[in-house]
Amino acid sequence: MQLPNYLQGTLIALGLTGAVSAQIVPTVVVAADIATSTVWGPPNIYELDGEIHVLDGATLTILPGTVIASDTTVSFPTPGSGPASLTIDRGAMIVAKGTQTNPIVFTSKSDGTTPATTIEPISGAQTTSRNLNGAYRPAATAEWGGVSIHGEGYVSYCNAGVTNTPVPSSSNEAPMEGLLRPNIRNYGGGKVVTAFGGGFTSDGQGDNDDSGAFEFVSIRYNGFVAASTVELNGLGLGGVGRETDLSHIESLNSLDDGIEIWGGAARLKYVEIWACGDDSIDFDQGWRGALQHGLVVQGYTTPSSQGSGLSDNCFEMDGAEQCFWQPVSSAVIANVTVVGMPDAIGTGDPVNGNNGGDHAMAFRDNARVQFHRMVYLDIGDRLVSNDNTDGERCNNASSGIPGAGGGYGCSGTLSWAATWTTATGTLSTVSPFPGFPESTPTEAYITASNMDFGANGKLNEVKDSLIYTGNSSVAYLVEATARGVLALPADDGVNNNNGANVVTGTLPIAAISRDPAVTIGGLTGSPSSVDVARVNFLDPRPATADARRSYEWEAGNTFLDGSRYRGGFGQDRLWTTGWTATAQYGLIATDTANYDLGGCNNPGSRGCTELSITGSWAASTLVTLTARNLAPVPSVGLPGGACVFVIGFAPASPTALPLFGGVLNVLPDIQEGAFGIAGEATVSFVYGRGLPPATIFTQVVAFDDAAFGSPLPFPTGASFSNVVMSRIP
Amino acid sequence: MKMFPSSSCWILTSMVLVGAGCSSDVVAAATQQQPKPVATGEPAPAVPAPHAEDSRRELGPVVDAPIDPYRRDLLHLAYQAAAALPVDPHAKSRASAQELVVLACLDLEQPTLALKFAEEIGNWRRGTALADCAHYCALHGDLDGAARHLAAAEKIAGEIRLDADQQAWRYDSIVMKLARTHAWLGDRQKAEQLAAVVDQTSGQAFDGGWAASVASRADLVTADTLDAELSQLDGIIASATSGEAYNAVSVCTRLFDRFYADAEQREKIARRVRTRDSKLPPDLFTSGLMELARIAIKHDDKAAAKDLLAEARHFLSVSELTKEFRLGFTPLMAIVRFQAGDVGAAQGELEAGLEVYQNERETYRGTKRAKILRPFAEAYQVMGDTQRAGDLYELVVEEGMENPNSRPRAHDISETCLSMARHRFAPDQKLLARIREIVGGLGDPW
Repeated sequence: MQLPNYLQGTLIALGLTGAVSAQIVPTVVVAADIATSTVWGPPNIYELDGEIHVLDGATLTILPGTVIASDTTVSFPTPGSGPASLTIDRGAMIVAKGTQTNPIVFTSKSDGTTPATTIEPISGAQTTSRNLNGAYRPAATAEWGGVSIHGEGYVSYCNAGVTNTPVPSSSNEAPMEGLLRPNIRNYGGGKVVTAFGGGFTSDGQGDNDDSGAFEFVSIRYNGFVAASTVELNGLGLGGVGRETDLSHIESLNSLDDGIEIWGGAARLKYVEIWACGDDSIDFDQGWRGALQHGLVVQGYTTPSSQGSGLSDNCFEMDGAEQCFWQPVSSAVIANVTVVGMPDAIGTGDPVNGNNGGDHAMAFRDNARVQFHRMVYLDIGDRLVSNDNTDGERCNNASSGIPGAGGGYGCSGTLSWAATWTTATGTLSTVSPFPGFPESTPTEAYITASNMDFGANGKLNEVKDSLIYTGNSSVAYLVEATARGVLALPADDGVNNNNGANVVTGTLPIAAISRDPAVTIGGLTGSPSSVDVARVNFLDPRPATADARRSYEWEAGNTFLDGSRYRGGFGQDRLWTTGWTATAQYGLIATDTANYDLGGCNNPGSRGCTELSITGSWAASTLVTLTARNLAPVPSVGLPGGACVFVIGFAPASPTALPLFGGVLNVLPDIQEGAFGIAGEATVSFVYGRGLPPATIFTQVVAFDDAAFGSPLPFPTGASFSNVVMSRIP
Repeated sequence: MKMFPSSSCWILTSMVLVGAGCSSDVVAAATQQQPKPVATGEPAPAVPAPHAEDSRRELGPVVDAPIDPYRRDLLHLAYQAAAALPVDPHAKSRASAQELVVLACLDLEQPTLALKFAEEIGNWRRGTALADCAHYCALHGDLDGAARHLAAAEKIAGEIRLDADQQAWRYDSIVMKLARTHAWLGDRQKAEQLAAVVDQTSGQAFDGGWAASVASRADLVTADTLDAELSQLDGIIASATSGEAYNAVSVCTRLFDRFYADAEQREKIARRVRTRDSKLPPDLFTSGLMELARIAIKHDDKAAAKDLLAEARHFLSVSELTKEFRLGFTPLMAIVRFQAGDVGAAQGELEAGLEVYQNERETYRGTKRAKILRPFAEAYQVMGDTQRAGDLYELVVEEGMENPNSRPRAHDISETCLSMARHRFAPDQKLLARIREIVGGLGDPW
């Protein structure tokens, strides 16, 4: 058998060539650091046999459909030295780009794998991969370690007595937790670099650093807790810069956090965290980034305390290791559906003090985060919690305050309450740097990313979100109320400048069901037991008018697109289809006929035009195309809006779609125009022309007088929707 | 990091704010066709005179300035190495390396070569590169060329804005450079319109593109508006994030240069940099001091330069910084010391730094060694010791080959070629052959 070059190299390096036969492709055991650039691809399964690092200068490319299945029994660097894990060292790169229907999967060797043939819908290419078809194992976790990516972005970590300074510096760096290889700063000679951040002599990169691409990647059944704060998460991002492409990332049944981010400026879109054993999304040490389009579903795996198998906080947010160090975490999170896990679901006992999962949003150590267009439901404890501090301190002479306390208000920083009323850009009058006579206080708390949604933005805020009160504890809204979250001005129905949250007793998503509640006892601390129930099916699509439409949308030029709905999903849109474990296991609603590829730009006067398609493209079957959030077109007397559904075959890459500046080969017989009624237009038809099996793409071009024109390569007044990929069976 | 950019003397070595590599002949060459000085590396007018109207007259298409053939060859070699990076999987790295070559071409007054290279960039960085080409044309009186490149870059920015996979800071990196040029051409309204839509996070990043644009505001300040501008800068430095502080310091150093003849104003400006040491990031503070020192030397004020240098040295000696960080400043400080007249001390400083490098080499990341060492070669070249510079360049070339992968090798050899071209270092036949061998040998594994 002629092996691809990359495979030959790998096998030879591992001394496995003798095991290769013409018919059987072995599992490729990776039992050494990767010093030279390597490609992993199907049909092989790759097994990490240790704490594997991609070393400085090397690039690991992982092709669509690749499965990496590992365990906790390793031989490298020494037998039994810890769970299998993959780390992309600072200066190395990972290019892991799966596709909507052919993801890259990091999982456990206990996960079922079988050969499968996948038709790549974009190119039509047929590949033989090793897809996973095992059933969901809800109690499985910590069956291997996790994935970490290191970059050179700025980080506020106080390495006591060493070199870091409390102000941002390209000299500052931090170690990645959970990695057991000791030589943090031992850079030379192909050794691992467990440090991140810094950006020293980084070609002017710093926060713009590029660690590669991580897209359409599912990470399953991982985790490792060696000691407190020595944990491996599903995905750890340390000092990762904003040039890194991060989207469509899933973490399922991680023992610790789903995704944890330390410093840097990474930006993520389309993230799903399911049943992790600690915080779903956790950040610290000055992350200044953004996240849009997400799904968080709390759960439990092992019968352990929060943080060790039972979900803790949905979002746990630390500003910096020490409250006044810089940069402080300041982020924007938008369009995430957050499903908690309250105690005793269905038993009518939501207030007994056992909270199941913990808070929706736990703030610590001067973190500043703006949440917009979220959906919260079934939160075990508080919607907003002032956790104040994680207890970590900087006992560092350079701080000027040896052993200073942490938490909001520490060393003259803003109080917790003040962060909710202080507009971005407003200053404190108290110096947090008394050790430096020339200092000013501002670096301690001014956000490094004032993505504040207009002049009314506050350092901390929750706006334009939907808060479901069913199954909630009595403490659910206490702190949120105290912080004014429920007292924002009402929507005026016209302008994109309001952020009133909506509190509702009506379930805002299409469906949720849970297993029967079970008692988990023997927990550390108090309470010693909780009664919790796993989610066994979720349809996260918006089910109420309040969920389907937000007051505001992001109209400016930011990382956030102009989606105008609350929560992570638009109406009849499921970006989780095709690539997630939850879709594979049937834990989440799917539509395998129509795949939402996301996207939305030039949003015009009302935010993004939304496209959804329901029904199959099989012959004699009704297909319905719907465009929503159309803007009025008064210039031609169409108050309900107007649009054209453009349907066709795309050339080899999705980047050739009109949305991305390319050309769509339009199918002339099914190109449809429609007038909208109240901002919505629908076209239904039975497509019976009998095309052979194929993949087609649909996008809406909506007319909008206010959509900006020049310098766009499109006519003035055109707004473009998301793209939906469909299969003609 | 990319700070204090100017079209004539923008050294792109790591974290270099100081015009360490701006040897006098580089500066002289760079200013030959300038209709008016705008950059810190150029002679300051006796009386501040920003934006004389006649600076924007049409002078016809820009042409490549005469240049030694070996320097042109080095630019081509640098580009060859950059373009050798495969699009799959290194499209972003490739474009980044290509953009550095474009900038070097502009620095060396080779605008047509820069444009040729810019148009071959395959991603959003083509927009930033074309925006730089436009700025060059504007500065040199090629108003048609400026308009053409502005339009091309703006079209790319528009496409990026439409692309859901792109990030706003990339768009912003282009439009802020466009704004800079529109401001220079007198269209403040257009500049402000472009700047108004940027994602604030881009401005607050440590982003050279933004800094370049903001810094151009220094060119618009007059003696009458200086106090108001300084007051505004005080507000920015006091209230802003570190990213904005970078921009503010950039404006300060430009103003320091322009108003150097006025001692009172000069000191007033310098205070904005000198008294912020506890607040500014260490690299920014140190670089800011050294930039002021370099400007003082340019104005033949060596005593002031030595004071500033001593202040920077003291800061580095008492601050907790990584050893790489300190070593990175050694050659830059040596150059300032040399230019201030302390030749022997400058050489001693360099040799001491090289000894540190040799002793600690194994503790530096492999892909950073050439980057650490290259400024030492540049410093010797600036100081006129071509022999020693050559020895070090040979070492730099080989250090860049330590990593087995061609991606870091391509970056290193490309940047070494640019360094040599900028610093008028003519490699001998042996070294040139070795460089060609390395460039020609780039390939798997990438």
